Amino acid sequence: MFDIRLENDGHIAMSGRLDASQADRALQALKDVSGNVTADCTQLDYISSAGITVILELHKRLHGGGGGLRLVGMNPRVRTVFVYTGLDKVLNIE
Amino acid sequence: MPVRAWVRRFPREIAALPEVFRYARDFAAENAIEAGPKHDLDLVLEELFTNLVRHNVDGVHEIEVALQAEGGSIRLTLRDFDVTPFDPTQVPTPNLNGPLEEQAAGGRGIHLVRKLTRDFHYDHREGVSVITASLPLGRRRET
Repeated sequence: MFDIRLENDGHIAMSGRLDASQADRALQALKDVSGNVTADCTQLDYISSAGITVILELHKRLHGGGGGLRLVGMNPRVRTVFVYTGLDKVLNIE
Repeated sequence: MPVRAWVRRFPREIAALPEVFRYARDFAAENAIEAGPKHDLDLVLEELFTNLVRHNVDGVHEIEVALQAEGGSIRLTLRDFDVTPFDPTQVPTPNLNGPLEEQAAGGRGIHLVRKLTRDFHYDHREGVSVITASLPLGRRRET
């Protein structure tokens, strides 16, 4: 199961598994997010290429609007997916 | 005693993924596969399964997923019946360097499969696409 909690002051929290079966729901939940956003990934257990596409869409949209995306708290397995796809070099991951 | 192979068919739809993951979870439990390799198994299964669903759009049959623990690896075999050939091993490696705007949108999933597996092969005979790959159990790279 995947869940996104939208908080005030530009924070979002993702939890569970962001796989292809959850990608459309995630995009829908994130469609109104704007500005400078910090995404807490502490409780994100799993991400696939479909989930990465969701993150990239959000990143591009926020940057296009003059904001940005910061990803924090990734566990090592989730981070490895970003490393293997080279996205650790172009996304703001802390 | 030989380790038994697991074989099961799943509806060819993305919504079947949770059931595929439950199947992998049960396989991992029976074979005492640890959390790191289990995570990679889910990832490889998802990327290969969704690739078949998305590229073999004329397919009507369920997709067969076979798993077998052998030595220090997991052998994965996916079979898709009555479909035209689509060879995922020939998907170009995406350009992962440079600005995001210059990177292609697709190809990351198969790139992940290449990074995580060995002996990633494709065959198509008599209308059946067969994808095989081996997932090493001891090569988890934590970064």
